[in-house]
Amino acid sequence: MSEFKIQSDRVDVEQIMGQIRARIKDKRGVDYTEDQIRELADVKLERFLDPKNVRSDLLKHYRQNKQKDAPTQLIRPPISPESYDVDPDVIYRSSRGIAGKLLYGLRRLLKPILKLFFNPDMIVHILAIQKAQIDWMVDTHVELSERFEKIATARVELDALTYEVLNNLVVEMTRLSIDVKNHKMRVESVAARLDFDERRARALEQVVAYRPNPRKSSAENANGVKDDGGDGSQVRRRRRRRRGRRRPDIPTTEVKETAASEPQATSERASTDGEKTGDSVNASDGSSRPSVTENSPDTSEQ
Amino acid sequence: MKLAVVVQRYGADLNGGAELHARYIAERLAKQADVEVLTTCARDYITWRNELPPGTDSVNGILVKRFKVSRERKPSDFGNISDHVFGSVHSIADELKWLRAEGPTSPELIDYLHQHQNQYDYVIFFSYRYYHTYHGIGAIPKKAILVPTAERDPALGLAIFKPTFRSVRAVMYNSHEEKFLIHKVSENQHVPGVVVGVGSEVPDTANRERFQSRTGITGSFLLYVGRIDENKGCAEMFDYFERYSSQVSNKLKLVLIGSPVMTIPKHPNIRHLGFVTEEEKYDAMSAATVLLMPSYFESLSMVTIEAWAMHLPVIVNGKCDVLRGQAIRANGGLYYESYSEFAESLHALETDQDLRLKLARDGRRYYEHHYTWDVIEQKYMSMLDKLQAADRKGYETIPENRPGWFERHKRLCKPARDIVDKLPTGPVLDSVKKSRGKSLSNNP
Repeated sequence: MSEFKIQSDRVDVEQIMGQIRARIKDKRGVDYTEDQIRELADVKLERFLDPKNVRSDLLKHYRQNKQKDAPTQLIRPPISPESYDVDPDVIYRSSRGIAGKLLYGLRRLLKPILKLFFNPDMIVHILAIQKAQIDWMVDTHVELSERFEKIATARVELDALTYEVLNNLVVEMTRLSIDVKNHKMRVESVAARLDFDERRARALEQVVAYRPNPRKSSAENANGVKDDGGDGSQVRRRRRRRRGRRRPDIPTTEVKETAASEPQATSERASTDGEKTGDSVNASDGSSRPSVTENSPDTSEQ
Repeated sequence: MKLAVVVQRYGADLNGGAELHARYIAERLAKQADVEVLTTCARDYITWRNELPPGTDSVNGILVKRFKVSRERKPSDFGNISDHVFGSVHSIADELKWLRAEGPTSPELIDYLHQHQNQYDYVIFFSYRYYHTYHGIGAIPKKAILVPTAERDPALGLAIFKPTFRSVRAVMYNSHEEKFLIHKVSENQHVPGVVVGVGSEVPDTANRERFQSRTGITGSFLLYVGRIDENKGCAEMFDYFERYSSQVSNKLKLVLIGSPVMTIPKHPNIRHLGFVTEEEKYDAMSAATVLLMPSYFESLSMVTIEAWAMHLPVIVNGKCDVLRGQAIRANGGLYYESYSEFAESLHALETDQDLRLKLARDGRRYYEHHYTWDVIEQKYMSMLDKLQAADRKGYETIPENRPGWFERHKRLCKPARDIVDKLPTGPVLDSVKKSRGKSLSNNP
């Protein structure tokens, strides 16, 4: 973090805060507050994220589903009923004290008669089986309830963590998307500047290319030669002159070889003929760029 | 002139904002008038349990009359009725039920005021939101002066308080933001009002070295003074400070003064000194680099004013309109609304001594202009003189119609939270904008 300096004698808190906010904006690109980022993450994800890949209302759905699925209250295992014993006499007993005992005795006494109508032992047997089954179901239910309670507790904790992670991910994703957007804008801005600079450079090069060479012109003027100004005219002139200087007894190839092997002689000739010097330099370079012409030692000597 | 100060709790050892404010005002006005304090027997603001004996008492030379609270507050009942009146359409009867549930319900105090009103020239009520203020002003509107200590909380949107704000003789506001809010809520512009606040007197004997030798804390540190409570923005303060320490600079320490009602994170740069004496507090201020005030809701931050009096710049929570407005008007501190702003502002204050000195200088000047006791006393006495002059001319109160039984039970009141949420936000800076460029504002 860079240093902050107040230069003037008077301070203005609003002005300082303006500077601070400008610095934050410069650092972050766009002046989003933390709350705004959260708001964007919650509401307007589709503006920044690809809706095909990320659901904009992901958090909302997640929260709703979580609330829907979450057990409002953990299911406690039910209290098991009091245990009862099933013995062969259970259907004859009574709970009415002394009268009950008398009743029990009477029923036992009449049991053989009862057996004429149906089999009470079978009823007692079935009752015993039912009791065993019910006991087993209650035990299983209690065990399953305890296991479910543990799983539900773990699930609630895990859901809280998952939600937190998801929330943070979405917030960070939004922040990153904003950063990407900012960077894209910056790249576009830099590309536009680069394009402008290139066009400017080309334009400047063209201007320099068409500018007459002051030194060359002055040299030519000094030798009494009128400057035509264009490259095309010089080429045309050279051709014309070469044609004019062709001697019938010497083949063209020999002339070229002589010129190439005797630069000194050429320069000597050049010193006596200004027009020819310019031509020879341009020809040797093979280019009509003024910068080369200007940098040529021959020309500079002139 | 005989004055009564009515407040929910009163005592030399009670440090609640409004209670302390009331005690300071009573003790200062006692120099120029005959002052009595009427209050309850409660000490605890959660339960309003009767802990002090009823009858007369003397606190720092001021006569105090205590009245019993008829019922203790049940937090669950109060929470339920608060949810109802703040969050859904309700009736005036519901709001009155809320007022009783909030407490401290003391019909004895109201009866006493009604019967002995002729003994007093004026009665100064503190805190608009309590039972004693609503019913006390209803009993003697012609003599009532209100110190609302209002914040931007949902209670401000309750319909029952509109006549309270409109029927008093004068309102002594704590800040421009509070005045603006109350004007918006109750349209009581016709009631004479002045922004006063509370004075502060700092000792000349505050000693930096004494603090350093007592606590062993040397180097630069950020100071927080007040209850360490999530409602005071302390959770955010810890979060921001820890991030600042890890990301920007770990040279700065955070020193906390006050009773904690939340867990203080264990961090090598956070130091909690607990509840300290006034002398120790001012010693800490003289040694501190910056005072931090992270609260979201304040009607007036006395600690901030004390910091300015001690030549200490502040950094405050910009989401609290009052604190932000004070910082801008005083030119005595920076504010933040996000972690980025917190980090940048704190870094600026930590690294730029020149900035700290300039802010401290302007803060001190602001304190001298607006918050010395001479200024506060003069504002109170000036208002009392105006009221007396109006009384001599035959002042007549404009009666505020209180609704009848059927009106009270019609469910026509909007959720109070919705009303407060719709109020304009931001500091009130008209006076600053007008006066900037010339000199410091004359309005606090």
